[in-house]
Amino acid sequence: MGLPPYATTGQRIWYYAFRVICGLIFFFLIAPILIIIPLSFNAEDFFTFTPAMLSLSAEGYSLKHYQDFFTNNDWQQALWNSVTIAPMATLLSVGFGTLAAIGLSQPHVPFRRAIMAVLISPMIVPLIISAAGMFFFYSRIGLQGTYWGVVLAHAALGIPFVIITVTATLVGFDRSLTRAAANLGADPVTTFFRVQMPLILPGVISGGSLPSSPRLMKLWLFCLWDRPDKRPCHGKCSRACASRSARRSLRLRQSLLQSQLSSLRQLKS
Amino acid sequence: MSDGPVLAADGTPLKRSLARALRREKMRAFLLVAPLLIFIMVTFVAPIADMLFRSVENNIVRDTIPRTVQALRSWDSNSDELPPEAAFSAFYTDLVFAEERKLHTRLGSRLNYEKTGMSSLFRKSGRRVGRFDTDEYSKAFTGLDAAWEDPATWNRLFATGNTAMPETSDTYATWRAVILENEDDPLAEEPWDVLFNALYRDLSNGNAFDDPLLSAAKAGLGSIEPVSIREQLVDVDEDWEDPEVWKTIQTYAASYTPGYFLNSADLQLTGEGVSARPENERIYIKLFQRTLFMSLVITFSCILLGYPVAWLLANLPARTANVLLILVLLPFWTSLLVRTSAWKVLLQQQGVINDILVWSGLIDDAGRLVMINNQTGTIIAMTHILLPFMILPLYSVMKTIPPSYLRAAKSLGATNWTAFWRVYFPNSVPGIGAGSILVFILAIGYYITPELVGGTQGVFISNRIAFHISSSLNWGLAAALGTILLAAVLILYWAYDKMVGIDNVKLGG
Repeated sequence: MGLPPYATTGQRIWYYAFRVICGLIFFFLIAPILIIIPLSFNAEDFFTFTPAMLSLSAEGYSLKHYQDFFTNNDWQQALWNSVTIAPMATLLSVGFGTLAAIGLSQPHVPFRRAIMAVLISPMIVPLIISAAGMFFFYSRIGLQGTYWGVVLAHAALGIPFVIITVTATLVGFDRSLTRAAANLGADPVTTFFRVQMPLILPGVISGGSLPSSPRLMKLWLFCLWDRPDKRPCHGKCSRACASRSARRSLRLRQSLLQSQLSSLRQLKS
Repeated sequence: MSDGPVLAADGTPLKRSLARALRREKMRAFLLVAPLLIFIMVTFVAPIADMLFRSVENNIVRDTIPRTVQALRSWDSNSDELPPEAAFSAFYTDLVFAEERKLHTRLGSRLNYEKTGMSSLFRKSGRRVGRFDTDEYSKAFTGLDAAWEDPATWNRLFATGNTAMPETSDTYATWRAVILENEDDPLAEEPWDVLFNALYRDLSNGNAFDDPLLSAAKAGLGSIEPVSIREQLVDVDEDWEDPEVWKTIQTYAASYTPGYFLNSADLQLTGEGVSARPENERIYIKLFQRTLFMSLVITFSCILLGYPVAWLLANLPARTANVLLILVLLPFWTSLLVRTSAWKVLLQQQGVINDILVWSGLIDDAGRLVMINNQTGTIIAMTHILLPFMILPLYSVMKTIPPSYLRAAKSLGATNWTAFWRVYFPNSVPGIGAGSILVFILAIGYYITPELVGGTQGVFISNRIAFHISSSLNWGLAAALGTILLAAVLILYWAYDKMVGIDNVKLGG
């Protein structure tokens, strides 16, 4: 949408003013995130820019907070907790989530809407309510403060992200591929691991990696995942990302299927 | 061809065969979903249901002082008279055991939510209950017969329950349980005063006793000076003479109470019924109003800031739009805490914005703006955090509006404004709706950001819930407030589902 050559002065002014307004809003979005980076090199413990920092003198800056992070036991313990808890929680949510997403993408699912609403709810229920509920419940059954308690809570909160991304990936999944595999004699388990899984893997990985980063981070998928231009993109992406061997075997099977079809046709005629 | 139904390959009617196939398919789909559904039910839905249950559950009074609850049942609270001596005695027995189990302070705190002063009253009484004059009974009975000093006597008489001595049997059973809880031997522990109190009461109420020891004690009863538990309690604190205290216990004796919900609505349950709380204790209605109002302001400012950006993104060439989209998405990739603390750096009085304003001479050093720890701070920071949730649905809807609509309107003679307002804007309304509900849902449940930048004036209902969970330990009230908040969120969630659809999001479709 360029500015047409016949635009009046008013239109010109509005055109540029609008750009400036949008620029300011983008600045509003980005500035707070950028401002935090120089602060991490602060030589003082204050959470503000010191005069020394503003005058750009060297003694205003230091790496002491980074040093603290890498040497302090509290930080290392926190880091270690994240490292041990996240994989287990991810494994749980991805395992259950992928299975359920595949089920949900079948054409006939009883109570699909209600099930979906329940599965997405951990993302919608205010954090304080989920946190309080889990705290009370887990302390009642003796899980509160234990490794498995944290893992289960994390896994539950991560489920919606897995469901949303994997379901979105499956929307772009070509069902004739599983039918072709079945046609060629593969049982459902083989079909899943040899055909479907390699193709939806990118969606599964992205869904699994989301919850381990801040919870709200990718809620946008929630509103975006059925964008009209999203489906083919997902399909393309998955296909491009699928491992080469899977692709090769698929191509082989597809050509086999085609030859079968053509021989059928020949038989018919 | 026969006239019968169409048959499948195996000879069954095709219709039935198809129905069976469909059923099997449904079953399979459901079985795939079932593990996750069970997982979510156990790890997420059950905890929330459990918490909601807490908002009405009130077993603590009944569990801690069961005899008192029982004795107060027949007491007419409107009579302005104190409960009978039996109720005082029952309370004494309950309090002795509650004190031994260290439960009386918890009950005191619970009742303190309903009537201030109860907490200290219980604590004080608990401290003094071991020194009541009921030891006179102990001395008197052991004086009559030394066998009363022997735990085995009590065990023989009351361990299996004695119908003629109901109160003593009941008290002995609890006493025995308490002794066992302490891992002591009930046959070695010296009987407590509370047992002699029950014995005295049973003996004076009953007549025929099967055991000679009991008959002898009954005969000697006249020589024992009665001890008034009521006087003992009033001696500890005069509040025990206040019928209101007993009314509170009676009112909250039920296992389930609407008290927490009433409290959430700034009401209270008294002996006479529901009434408004005193003026200075009404905060929750105000807090709910503030939460709603601020969420609306945040939603509105998100629309205001998000609309132009989404429009620009939707109308730029795809390559430029994608680059700019990263600027929108970058905040998502940053931790919530980082963004909130960034706003602390920017907004505080010695912060970046104030420094720039002072430096540029717009304000003087004394007149630095207060932008944090109040509502302004919360609104600014939360608008920033939630803005992408507005921009993205708007953007996806605007992308589907063909630019030719605007051109057509203009070629038909519409001014720029008319073309936008009458043609483009109505088309983008679904995006505004979807984005607004999403932002609003997220805003009313927000907790971390208001906690960090909200001060006292900019906090939400969530912060109050957190306060009751972690500081005041009034979990019932926290659960009731949470239930109300959850109900609001679920209604909006339902609206979102109706409008946009959770499983099949078709924005602007």
